[in-house]
Amino acid sequence: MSAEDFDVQGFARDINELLVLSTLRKGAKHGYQIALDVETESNGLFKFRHGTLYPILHRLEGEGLIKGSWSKDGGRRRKEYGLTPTGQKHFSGETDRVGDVVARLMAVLQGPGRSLA
Amino acid sequence: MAFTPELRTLGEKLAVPIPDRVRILRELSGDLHALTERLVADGVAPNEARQRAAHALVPDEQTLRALERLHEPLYVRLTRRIDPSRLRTLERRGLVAAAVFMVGASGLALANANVVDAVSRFQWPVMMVGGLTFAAGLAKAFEIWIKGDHSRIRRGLTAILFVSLSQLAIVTVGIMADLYVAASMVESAPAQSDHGLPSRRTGW
Repeated sequence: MSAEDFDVQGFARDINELLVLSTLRKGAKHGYQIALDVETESNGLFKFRHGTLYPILHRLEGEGLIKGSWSKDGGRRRKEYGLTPTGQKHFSGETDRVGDVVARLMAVLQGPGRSLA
Repeated sequence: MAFTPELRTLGEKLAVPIPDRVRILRELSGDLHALTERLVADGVAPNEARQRAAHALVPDEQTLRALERLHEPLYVRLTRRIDPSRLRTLERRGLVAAAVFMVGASGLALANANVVDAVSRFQWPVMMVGGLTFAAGLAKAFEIWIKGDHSRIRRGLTAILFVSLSQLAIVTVGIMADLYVAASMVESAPAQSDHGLPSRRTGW
């Protein structure tokens, strides 16, 4: 990954997208369930507030990384999202990329000559 | 535990095509109810659960703008770089050209069919009003289906209805007047009716 490849401002967005994709690896979920799972699994570190989850879901759906489907539950229509094969592949690649970025960041923060461990 | 007021306010604020707006609000409504029920099942008081669900899921202004960008119609995305006033002028010219072409092509087809000399004198007003109806309908269709601008969806519908009804009224009056003239001619000169007076007018 070159310096030109890394978009600092887009990093937060990438993290949010990865969190959503990560929760969907365990199976299809409704939007609210995704939000709850992200919050629970991160011990409250990551939270989706004020509907910020929806633009992420709709963007991922537009890119074909997740697929939404409607179901009926107690007379109410609900939308459920599942990970697509493309999304699965994207998740693996992006996880590696974010890991690399975090490792480099830590190297900078810890200064030269200090180990990352 | 209805979220109707919140959803109605959102629907008014969210500037996306109506089908997308309906889908977004339906999805949000389903999630709001499900999350509220889940929180209540976990022991949270219903009012508190409702507030927490709304706080987590109801989009704020910034999120609404993000949703609008994501659901922008293709035409808007493609023409984003064109200056709005210039785009408006181009759109108007395009619509006028399409309407003129349509009326011209219809007129030409009638002329080539050699019925122009024989048909009713009401034909031209009908064609003129028809051209107006077509232009108004085309402008509205462009706004709804190409631009995806559903913010003022009722605007112009009365005008379209008015020109359509005017056309219908002219056609009705024209038919009645022509029948009256034809009947008068037959009545005044019955012998000539066999020589095709009405048929000369209608081309049958």
